[in-house]
Amino acid sequence: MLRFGIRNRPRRLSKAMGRKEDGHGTGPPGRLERMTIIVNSLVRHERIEGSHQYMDEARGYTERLLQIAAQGDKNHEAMDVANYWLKDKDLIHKLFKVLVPRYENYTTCATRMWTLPVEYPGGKNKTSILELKGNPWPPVVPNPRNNSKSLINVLLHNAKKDYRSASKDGTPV
Amino acid sequence: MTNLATKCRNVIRLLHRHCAAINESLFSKSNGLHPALALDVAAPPSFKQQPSKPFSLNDLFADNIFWAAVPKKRRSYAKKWTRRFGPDKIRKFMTPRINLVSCLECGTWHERHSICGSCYEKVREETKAMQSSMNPEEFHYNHPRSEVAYVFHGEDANDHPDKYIVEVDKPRPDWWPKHMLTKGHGKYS
Amino acid sequence: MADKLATLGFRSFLSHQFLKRSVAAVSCRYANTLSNETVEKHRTSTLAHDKEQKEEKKISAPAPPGLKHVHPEFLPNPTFYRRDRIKEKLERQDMYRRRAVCPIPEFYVGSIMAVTLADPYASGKTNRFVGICIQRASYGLRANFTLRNVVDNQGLEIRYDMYSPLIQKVEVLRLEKRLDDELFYLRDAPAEFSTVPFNLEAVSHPPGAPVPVNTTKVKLGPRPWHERWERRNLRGVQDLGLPEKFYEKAKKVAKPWEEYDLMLKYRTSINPQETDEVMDEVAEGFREIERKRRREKLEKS
Repeated sequence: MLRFGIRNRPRRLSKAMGRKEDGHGTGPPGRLERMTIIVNSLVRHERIEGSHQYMDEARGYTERLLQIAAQGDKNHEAMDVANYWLKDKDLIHKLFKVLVPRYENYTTCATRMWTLPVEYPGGKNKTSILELKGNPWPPVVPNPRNNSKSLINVLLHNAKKDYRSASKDGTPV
Repeated sequence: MTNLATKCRNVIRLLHRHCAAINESLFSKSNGLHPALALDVAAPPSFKQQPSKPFSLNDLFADNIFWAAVPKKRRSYAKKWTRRFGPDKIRKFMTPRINLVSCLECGTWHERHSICGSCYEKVREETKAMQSSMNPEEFHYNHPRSEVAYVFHGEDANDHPDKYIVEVDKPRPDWWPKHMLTKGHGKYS
Repeated sequence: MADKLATLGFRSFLSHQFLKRSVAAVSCRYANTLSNETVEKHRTSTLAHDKEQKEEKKISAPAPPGLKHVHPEFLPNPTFYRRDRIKEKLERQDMYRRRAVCPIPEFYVGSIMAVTLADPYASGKTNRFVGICIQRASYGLRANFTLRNVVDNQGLEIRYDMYSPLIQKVEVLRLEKRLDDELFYLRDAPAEFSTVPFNLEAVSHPPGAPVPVNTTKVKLGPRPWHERWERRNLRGVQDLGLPEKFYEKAKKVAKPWEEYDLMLKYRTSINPQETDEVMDEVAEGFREIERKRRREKLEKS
């Protein structure tokens, strides 16, 4: 079960279906080839930037690949799938030896996506960052600040406390 | 004079040709009788009384492009301008942008759904520096088969047991504290 | 998810007072449906006025691992716009109740079965047909299977609705599997491969034993065939013996990348977690039937 919302229908990504030498398009296998390139890149770099549509599609494939690989490298199906999806064979080792143990106990998804800002007016296509959780790079966004000591929050916290205790006693607030 | 004569003759020839073509089109229809054909079966009753119709403009206009859709009235300049420069076109620029937010760290304005570009710039540079500190041959062709730990100046490699150590040739950036999840009591908390 | 997307799009565009035609069309299509997420959110919400007194049936034990292959009709339809959790649950309840009255034994494509239908115009008011199961299709109460036999040199195929009240008895005369999931190629094979005698005696199958796989390779008759079998990757068929150009065209037309299209497979199937949940419920339902039957037996005696 994928732990993030997916679209009901896949994106066609017609631009991914590039051109062969004879001028014809590569069609759906070209789309899947582009996905393998992105997944390959992600497994290697653990954080990649690109067009939002492609990153979003590749996210699903990466998650599914990790779920299938979790069955173990002795599993014939898992090895077959990993062999197709990871064109660089040193990454197959990384997948089974590094990534699978890393995400073994995760209850959330293994990937995360961020949207990069666009200079006004901007085009239709946004760029996004797709990263594997637990990567060694610095965090994309800084940790949220702890605002609990700010004046308003202190007042609110105590007001809530008073309300709860008063409603328990039955005294009107 | 000869030129004029030949021109007249050519015009007459053109007209003849066109008349013939019009006649052809009229008489080759299923309803009409072709003058050259001799039918040896009795003609269908509906066509018995009908003499061969002379060419008339009505037949030409019967079912032709002359009845195609066409503008009835001239488009007023108001309508023209509304279409070209009206709300449909400028809606994008005229609606107020209420989704702009200032980054808490640096103050740059960005859309609410996106991350701060200037803050991410330094993250991107740092990531690149870290990636380049690993042997490129290894990073791109023979990735290590265990978790990788990047050790900056002044940090101890022994803090990361069972990991592949890569030494980065610079101190740790100020904005990236070492311990993210634990509550700090030191300089970076 | 489509509903979520549609509603999100709908709301934001409404606030800007322009409705994109495509979003409006989508939200109209799903206007009469409630997404499962919305229903669950309100059901479990702490702000609800009438808190639902839900008696959750406790699942005493997980389902045996292969149950989803034995009873595939209990799994929901993978097509997202045909999913409705409540409808699925109600259907499953009806399926247990029907099975309590008319038990349907375990069977697979390739098994030889006998079905007795109620028929008002037949002598004895019943109609019995014996045949080899060539297909198992559909989900829920619509689940069906097709039996094929050759009677008086005429090939016959009858599709039975598994949960039809007309069915009086379903017997499995010989429980076995074949190399393929669908045996439509038997239509192009000689009659001997599809003929099953009507008086075939049942072969008992011990309860825990593995299901035997019939590895016969059918030799097809001469062309023309019902389908281009060379494009189908059949395993239960002998070498078709076609000229090379057929196989070349088959390769051209084939879609080998779909085997590795992980998201396509995910979208056209029910994910393992949900499958397991459903099968656990089904196993509990079967146990319920057993308990009722034993109780009724005791009451009778």
